[in-house]
Amino acid sequence: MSDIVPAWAEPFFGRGPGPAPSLNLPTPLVSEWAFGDRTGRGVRVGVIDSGIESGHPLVGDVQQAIAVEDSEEDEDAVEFVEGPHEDLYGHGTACAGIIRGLAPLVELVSVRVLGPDLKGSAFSFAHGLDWCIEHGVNVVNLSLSTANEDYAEAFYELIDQASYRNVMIVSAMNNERKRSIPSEFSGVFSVACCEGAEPDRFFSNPQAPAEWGAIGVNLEVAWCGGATIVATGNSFAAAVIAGHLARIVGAHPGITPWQAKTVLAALAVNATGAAPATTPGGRPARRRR
Amino acid sequence: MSSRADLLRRLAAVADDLGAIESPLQARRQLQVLCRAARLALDSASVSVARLDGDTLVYEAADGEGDEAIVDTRLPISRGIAGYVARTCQALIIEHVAGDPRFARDIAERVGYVPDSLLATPIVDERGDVMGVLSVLDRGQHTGDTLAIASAFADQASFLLPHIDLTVRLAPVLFAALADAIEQSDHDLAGALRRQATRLPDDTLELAAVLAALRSLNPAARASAVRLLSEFADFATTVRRRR
Repeated sequence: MSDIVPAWAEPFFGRGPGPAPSLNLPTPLVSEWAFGDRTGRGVRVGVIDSGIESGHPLVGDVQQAIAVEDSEEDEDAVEFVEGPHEDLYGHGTACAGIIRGLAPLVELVSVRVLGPDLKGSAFSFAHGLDWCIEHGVNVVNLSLSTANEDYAEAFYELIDQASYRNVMIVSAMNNERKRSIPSEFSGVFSVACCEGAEPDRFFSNPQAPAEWGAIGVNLEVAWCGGATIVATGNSFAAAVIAGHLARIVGAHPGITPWQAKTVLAALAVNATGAAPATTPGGRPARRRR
Repeated sequence: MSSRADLLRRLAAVADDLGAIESPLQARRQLQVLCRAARLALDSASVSVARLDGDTLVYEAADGEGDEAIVDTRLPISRGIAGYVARTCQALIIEHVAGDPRFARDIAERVGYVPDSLLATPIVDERGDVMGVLSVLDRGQHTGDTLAIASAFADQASFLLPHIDLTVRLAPVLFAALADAIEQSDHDLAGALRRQATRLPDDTLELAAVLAALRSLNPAARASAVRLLSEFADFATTVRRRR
């Protein structure tokens, strides 16, 4: 063995780094294999948003709730307050309802970054993402983004950290043609919406940065106070992809983000040689106009 | 600073140079025209523009249903759909707004008009920070991409909102600076200016509008207006002293 080992090369010397990530992908790759029992059992899904209304008929119970709030002692820091909280706007509940509808046995983790304190949202949002990466969340739904380039580097580092730890970050593209950080980054599952009512009909887009397309137009979604409203936006499409990823992670624990992208792409409606789903998807989203 | 008259002349000159007295009004008028153009382009019931002032949305201009009622309304951004848009810089399109009981209650109480649909899009500055929200109520039939059209109007509003914001911040600073400058020579006037700096009344802009209108009169009419206003000011001061 050489007496010179350049930095980062250690895993490749001696007996090597261990088995490569493997999925033993079946051919053709079918949804029964990819989604397993379609429940997302045991998968921790973080919803970084305005909170989740626990007990909402379309959501059910929220297993963990963390509020990212201003620190009273240090204006450049935040505090993580654990315990039940309400959804201040309704948006987080909407995303959570979509995820639960697709993967009913996930552990829902509400990471509220839009609290009553009014610190810059991107600041709290970055801390919320960091918390998810550090606390064993498997799939993170980010239906938020920032156009503020001052945060680009922080999010770049966070997305890399998530990727290294097999945390799937699903990030909605901005609803307008503006900078959309971190959804433009290649390390996330970036999502925009398409029409339709079937959540299992999603697209894989070969043209970046909106990598995935899922239903998000005129969807009836959960909202505050046990209510539902009809809403449109990339946010809701992101939640659909997060739900699918929760199913995949539930069926294949330890799957890496790039493997999950391969699986998801094989199930897309526009995949070459895609095998049609032979069993119904989750609860179809109701579409109204 | 030799005399009060000299100071006031200099104040008038500075205000004139900065356009600080008139510009917010012009900006508000332009915003109102913008709202009307957006409302027509989207065939909608109403369009409004709100400015983000700290943790509050201040509705600066509107056109259509409930426009008079919504202007000058202040709503905290900690609640509501427009608040969410301001907090997240993310446009939101809701089709059956009445399904959100909080929204329906808030708007009905303030404006007396509950729309069926709402499109709210952020108004952002060049850095990407939110400076306000443009809301479209009950858009109708029109050609083109609704969100792109609303977004274009929001971009245009982003050039107007800073004028209002600047003036709202400038006035107290100007008054405070003047108070400091004349502290030695005129203690009473300095005190009055300082009080003004700390609590500008809500009708400052309206008062500025009246003064701007009077200034555009012909010299004779202007002289009459000044005489009339002076007499009223003297009368009001006398009444206040008697109390």
